[in-house]
Amino acid sequence: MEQVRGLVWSGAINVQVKAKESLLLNEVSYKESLVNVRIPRDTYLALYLPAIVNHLRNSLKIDDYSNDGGTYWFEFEGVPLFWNYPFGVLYDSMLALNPPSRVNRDTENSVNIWKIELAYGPNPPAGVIPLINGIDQIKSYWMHQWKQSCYILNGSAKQVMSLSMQDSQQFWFSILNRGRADFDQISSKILPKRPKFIPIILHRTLPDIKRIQLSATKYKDDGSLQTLGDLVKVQFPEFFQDSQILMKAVSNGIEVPLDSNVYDLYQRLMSFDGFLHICVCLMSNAEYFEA
Amino acid sequence: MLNPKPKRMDLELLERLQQRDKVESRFQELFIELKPSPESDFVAELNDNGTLTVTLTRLRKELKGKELQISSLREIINVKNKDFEKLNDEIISLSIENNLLQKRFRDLEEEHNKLVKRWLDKVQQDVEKLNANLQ
Repeated sequence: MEQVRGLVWSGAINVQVKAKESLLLNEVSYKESLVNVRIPRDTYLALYLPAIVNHLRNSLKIDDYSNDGGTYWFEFEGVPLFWNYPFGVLYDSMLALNPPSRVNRDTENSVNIWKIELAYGPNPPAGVIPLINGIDQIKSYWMHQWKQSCYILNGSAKQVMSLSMQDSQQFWFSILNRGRADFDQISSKILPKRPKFIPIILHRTLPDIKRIQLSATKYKDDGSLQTLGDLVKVQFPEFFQDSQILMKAVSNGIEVPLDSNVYDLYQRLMSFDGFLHICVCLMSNAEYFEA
Repeated sequence: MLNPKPKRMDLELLERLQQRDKVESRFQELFIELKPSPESDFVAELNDNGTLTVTLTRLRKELKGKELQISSLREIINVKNKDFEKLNDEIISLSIENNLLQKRFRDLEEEHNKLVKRWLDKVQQDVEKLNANLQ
């Protein structure tokens, strides 16, 4: 389990961020309008916004210090990316990732890049939380997520609320500095051995974007173990037709077996915000016909 | 279906995560590893870069002003273009009217000449008659 947690923590994606044409100064070359970065899966994209803007600053029309009330956000193919979900989840859900078919297409020379755009304006698109207080706002949002997941796990947010000042700072810095040991140490104070409920968020992109927050139990009413398939079937019955399953559950860039127990999955694939994020992705045509 | 035992699950997840990393980490050396930097770093850098950044900021402001000016001038050009089109239409309609009046004027002039000629002929006839009577 340790090794799995280690890989979940260290996963990262190659990203190409290109500023939108309307933000660029005249005569800026293509190369100057983008930056290639590697961003961890288990973090918020917004944490890297200042560094990305800093890289592109000399090509942008926007004055960082003008305080014109505008805000930055990211888009993928014109669809805004909600920074308040872990970056890996955004990647898996927006691309409706199908890990086995990606592995099949992979060659020794292929590069996996996610191309996204940097946008700016006075009014961010609906659903995008405007970043008005920089990194402090991200920190409070993240703490709030932990309070929620703690409440679901323990029945109260006491474990988070009673963290010492030093512990909560150390917890936050473990995210900023990618310090897994610190993260594990503090999160172990919050995560119970026997959880009341398990905090899960299901993400579906196709046919429309939908996110469902669930509180699952380890066991079903009949005493048997609750599987991921049981949960998804209740929320998305349309994917389970005549004993055929038309979807895949993806978490942290890998396909997760639907017969896995939710708590076992939570312990291994839990995200840095205390939730287990599962993306519901459609099967490819080939897989559908094979089935 | 039986639930996979945690150990089997670990092996399965481990293998898939390693496969994922193989795909997602290839050529990672071409990508910059950024550090989340709070805005305060920006301010520090601003102080470090001093004059250049200030100049750049000023130029950006100027650029913004010029862009506003361009858009307002474009609006003025649009309005003027519309005025020009209106005037052009008016000129065309007036010149058509002028052509019609010219034609009418020519017709009337011709009629007038005819009448004068008829009148002269008549006077000539009267004079000739009078002369004949006198003789």
